[in-house]
Amino acid sequence: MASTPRPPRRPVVGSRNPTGRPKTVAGRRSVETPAAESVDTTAESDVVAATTVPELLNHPDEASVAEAPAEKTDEPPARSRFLTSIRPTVGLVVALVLMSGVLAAEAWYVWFKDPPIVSAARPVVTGEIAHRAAVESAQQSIAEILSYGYQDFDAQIEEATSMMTDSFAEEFRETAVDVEQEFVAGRTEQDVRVVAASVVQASSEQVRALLFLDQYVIRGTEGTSVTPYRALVTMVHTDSGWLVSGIETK
Amino acid sequence: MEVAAGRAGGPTVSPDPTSRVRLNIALYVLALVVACACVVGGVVTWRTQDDRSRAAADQERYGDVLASATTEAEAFINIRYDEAQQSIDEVAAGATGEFREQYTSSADGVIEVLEENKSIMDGEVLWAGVVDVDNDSATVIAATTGTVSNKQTGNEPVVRNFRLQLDLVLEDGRWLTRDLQFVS
Repeated sequence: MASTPRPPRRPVVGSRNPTGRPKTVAGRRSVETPAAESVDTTAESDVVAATTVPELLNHPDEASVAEAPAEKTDEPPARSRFLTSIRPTVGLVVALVLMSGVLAAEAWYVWFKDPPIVSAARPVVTGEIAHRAAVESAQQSIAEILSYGYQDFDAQIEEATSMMTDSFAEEFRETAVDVEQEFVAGRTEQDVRVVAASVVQASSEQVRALLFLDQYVIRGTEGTSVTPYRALVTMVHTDSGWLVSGIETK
Repeated sequence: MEVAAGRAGGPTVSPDPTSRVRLNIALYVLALVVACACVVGGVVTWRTQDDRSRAAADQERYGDVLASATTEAEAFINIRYDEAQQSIDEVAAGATGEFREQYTSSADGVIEVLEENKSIMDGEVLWAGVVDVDNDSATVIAATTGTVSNKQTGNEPVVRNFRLQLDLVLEDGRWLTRDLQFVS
């Protein structure tokens, strides 16, 4: 029985051709512009015309294989999908919120954390340079404040008050008035020297210094008497530097 | 607003792909900037914390030195003839080196004098301050106030204030007095 010849199959776009045009070209073409596609389609038709029928018969499935990627031409690449998705937006916003919190905590710790407070365990809460400057100032000030004589008494007191805070200066003037008559009557000179100095408490605003003082008193022709005593001097930091705000002696 | 068909993670709402991309890129850049700021802030915070820790250790050293000096000075000025050995032991407990040796070696003679004179010395540290301090040594001055009573005072307490200077050293984590002198 003679077999009827099969009609030749219609050539398919993208099928194998003698020039060896790669199949994947069909898939890539899907992302090209319509204009480019139409041009390319024409070129493809020419290629198809050159394809032999037996070859097509031997590889009947290749056409469909080549066409398969063409069905996904509307699908954007994965990177584009990611960028247009809301997921990264949410993720970035969450990350920003968290990092802002971390940044705020860091800023608080660096700039806004309360400084340490003077206590028995930490009597000195300022740097050594700062409290040494205050103690040095206390030594000089006390030696000048407490050294005076019956001559130019008022001028000496006024000069002494320039090293004090206003409130302590007022207090000191009142005390000096009581002492003045005694000093003038006894022709008394008093010289105070600092024997030792130390820091008792210190903050950036206030320093308390313990001074060991020797007081030399000359009364007329009686000679000189020396009295050792101790003074707790409170210094406060002002725009004018360290000023004496209190003297306690024992 | 266009609602796009869901993909792997379900439906997504996208107002406009281009604006979404721009928004995400802007957020990404901002996140990078904030992340950099966080890193810089972290370094600054770490250094600040380090500085504060060292400052705290330095500051606590003043407290430790003053506490030890105060304890030793008060032990030194609180001596009773009827508890002489205990008084001397308390001084020795906070002392070291030559000062400790001298004090303990003369204890017998001191006890004898105390008992003979019925001496009682009471007092406390009024103020104490640090003259100088470093990692393992310190100098402290202390002003004390108190009384002394013995046969010479008719067993009546007489005010006796002292100016003391103590040199301390750090030994096995304790500040001990290696020298104690009266500041005349």
